[in-house]
Amino acid sequence: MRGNIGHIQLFLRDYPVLWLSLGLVLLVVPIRPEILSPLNLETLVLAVALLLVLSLGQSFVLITAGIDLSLPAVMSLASVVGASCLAGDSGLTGTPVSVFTAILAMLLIGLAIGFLHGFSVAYLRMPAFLVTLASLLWVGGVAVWYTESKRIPVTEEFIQVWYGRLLGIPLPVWTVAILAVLAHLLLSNTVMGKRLYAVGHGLQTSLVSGVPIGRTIVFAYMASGLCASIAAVFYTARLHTGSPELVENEVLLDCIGAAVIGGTSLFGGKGKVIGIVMGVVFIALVGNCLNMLGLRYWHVIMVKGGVILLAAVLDTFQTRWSGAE
Amino acid sequence: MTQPVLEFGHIDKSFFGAKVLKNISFVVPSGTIVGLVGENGAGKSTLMNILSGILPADAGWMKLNGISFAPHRPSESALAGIAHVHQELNLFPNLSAAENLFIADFPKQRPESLSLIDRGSLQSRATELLKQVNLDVDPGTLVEKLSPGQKQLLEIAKALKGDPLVVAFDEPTTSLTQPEADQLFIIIRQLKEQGIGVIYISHNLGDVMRLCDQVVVLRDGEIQGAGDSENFTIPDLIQLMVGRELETLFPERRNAPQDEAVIQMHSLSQPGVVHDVTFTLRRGEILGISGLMGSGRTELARILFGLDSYNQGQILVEGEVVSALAPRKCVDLGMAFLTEDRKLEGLLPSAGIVENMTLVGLERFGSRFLGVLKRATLKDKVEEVVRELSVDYRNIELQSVQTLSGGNQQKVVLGKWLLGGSRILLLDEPTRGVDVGARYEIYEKLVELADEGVSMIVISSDLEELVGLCDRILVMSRGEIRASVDRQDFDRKEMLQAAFGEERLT
Repeated sequence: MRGNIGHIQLFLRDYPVLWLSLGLVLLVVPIRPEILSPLNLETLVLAVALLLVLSLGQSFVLITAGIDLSLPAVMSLASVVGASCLAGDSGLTGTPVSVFTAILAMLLIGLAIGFLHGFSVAYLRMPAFLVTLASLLWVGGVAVWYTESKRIPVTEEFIQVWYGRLLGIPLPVWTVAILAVLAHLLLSNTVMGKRLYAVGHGLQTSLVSGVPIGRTIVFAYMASGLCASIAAVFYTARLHTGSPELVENEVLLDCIGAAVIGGTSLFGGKGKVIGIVMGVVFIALVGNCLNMLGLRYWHVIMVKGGVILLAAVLDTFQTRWSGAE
Repeated sequence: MTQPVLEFGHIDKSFFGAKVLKNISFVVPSGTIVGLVGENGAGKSTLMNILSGILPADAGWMKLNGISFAPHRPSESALAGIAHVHQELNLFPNLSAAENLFIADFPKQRPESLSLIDRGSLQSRATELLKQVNLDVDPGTLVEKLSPGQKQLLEIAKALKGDPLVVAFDEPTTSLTQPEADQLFIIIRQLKEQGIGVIYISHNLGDVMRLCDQVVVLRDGEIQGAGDSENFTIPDLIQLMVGRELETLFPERRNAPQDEAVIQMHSLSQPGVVHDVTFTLRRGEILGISGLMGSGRTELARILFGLDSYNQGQILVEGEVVSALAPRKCVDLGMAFLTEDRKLEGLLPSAGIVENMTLVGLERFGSRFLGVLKRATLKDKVEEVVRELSVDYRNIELQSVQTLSGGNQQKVVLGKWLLGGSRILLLDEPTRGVDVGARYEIYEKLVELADEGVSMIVISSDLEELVGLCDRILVMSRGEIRASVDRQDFDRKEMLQAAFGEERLT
């Protein structure tokens, strides 16, 4: 019994974001009780699902002490390629097989770009920041060039990926929940998971200890690319269209911010799925609450930016303190 | 009789109710070197922190030149004439020697309000200070270009700047080679001649006996023995420090090395690093490599472990020629490398013991498909090795290893390799920063492993350690092996000569 209480205390100490989220809800409920309406809750859950996919992928990279800034561009490219697969005149149009091939193509794009990133960082020893920032531009550019800036409508069957339900729960929620569980198992319970942390904790020590650093880093970036593709599938279905400008670059800050608020360290080696989920819930709540309060877009991003900055400051101090011990 | 320059009287200090210093009283006479020895955690650092004004004492007093002395902050202590030379150097590598000396109070040009540095005066005052410590470099030299020994001398010059009455040295020789340490001792003796009181803290008891006029032995915050150093022997000191009898510091070998070769190196060369190195490591052998810093001893180990490259020669492991060495491949071949930089290359400092210990052998605990970990087996195995090495810890998973003492950290690194199933160990400075008790435990484990047929190469700056531990010692100088000496022929003087490269032995 005592042990349990100790665990709960540790939990609350490790994840102050839980308190923040709770406080936020308590603050907003008296003003806008409709925040707890089933309709808004579903909106919120879907927002969480979308952001969580990206945040999970981002966290794999953050844990290895890297960063993936290319996500919005990867999503855009996957979106337009997927949409054009559906539109292609292959005789499969309108069948479930076309949906399947479109999704497969999208996932492959994420994996391929992720592989390029991982290879550049691990084997060419390029800074992750630079490699992925460059991709944000060139991959985004390719997406625009490929479509000549046009949007490509998608088929009814494809849209079901977003709007479909199983046992009354939206398909994307199922998908992301399974993904989160898998990510948790991978990080906490497999050889690869432990290696991701080790590489982020100490690259040199990992090298000397015979950890296959190259493979591990490539894995992280490919996981990130894959998650970006999955998010692209959902966004594309939701918008009914493949777009070379699928999401605002703000999504990038949201997913990194959510991870950091949830205890993932920008310095590598730290981060758990449970924390990331809480961080994502908080970021989604901030957006949702501020919207409900009728604040303008720029107010929302100002507050979000501020909160994320604060989380980064805390992360920095925590890393310093523990380093100084 | 010389006058006491510094006196400690009945000093007590507790942290959270635990007494770390109990009734400490001793005297540092002027012109005397007092050795302060004790295991990690014995209270040496706390006492020095009280002396330097970082911590207040709970009870007791200090006197400096007969006047009561109770500094409230480090600057007060420094101003009163207490100087410290630390184990970890506080130097800026990107600045020059002169700039480092005067970093806190640059000589200014007139008018002072402009805060322009008076370069001429900086240069001349720095030259003078460097001369005092026999450091023959231009004051404009960047610190990153200095050797560890030169840096240590520079640190002393910095300490001497304020004409101190007492200088306290904390492990000044850990990163120095023997000749560099000898040079340091000459300087310390000069300080003594000038009437300065010297406090010398070190784990290297040989140095303490050689250098100090008096010794004070601390254990668990109490003085266990004090007096002229000629009244003590090293075994006496060890017994006082650890509070139990250690037959000898080095355990006896039970089995002799076998004939079978485990590693054979043939004419290995890498320009500017090592030249024409040939040797054989046999199964169950402890092979020492002695030599000065920069002699190629560490570099040789790095090449052998695939961290650095070589352009000529051949390496055989277990009789098979291996090429394209890389750490991962070496680990697969059963090799281990305990590097000299524990923080950067040995540990994941902010991770726990379990995470650190399983780094090498992780795959053994994963399922074939997907690599799912058998967590219970893994933790059991870690706990077993931790017990075997008697690692002292509070929480095996949550406590970060950087909060462990040096000895326990080193045991974790060693445990990591043992858990990974390594049978050939390359150990570079295995006991650096490790206190006497833990050092003995590490030696004991190494000898036990060698008796079981584990082969090891031990690189060390501490010749005593090699002489006590090894079956055979190779002496390196300027990238070449100058001598290979079997245990029955160990002769410290000859080996030192070979290390200096004065004489070629056969």
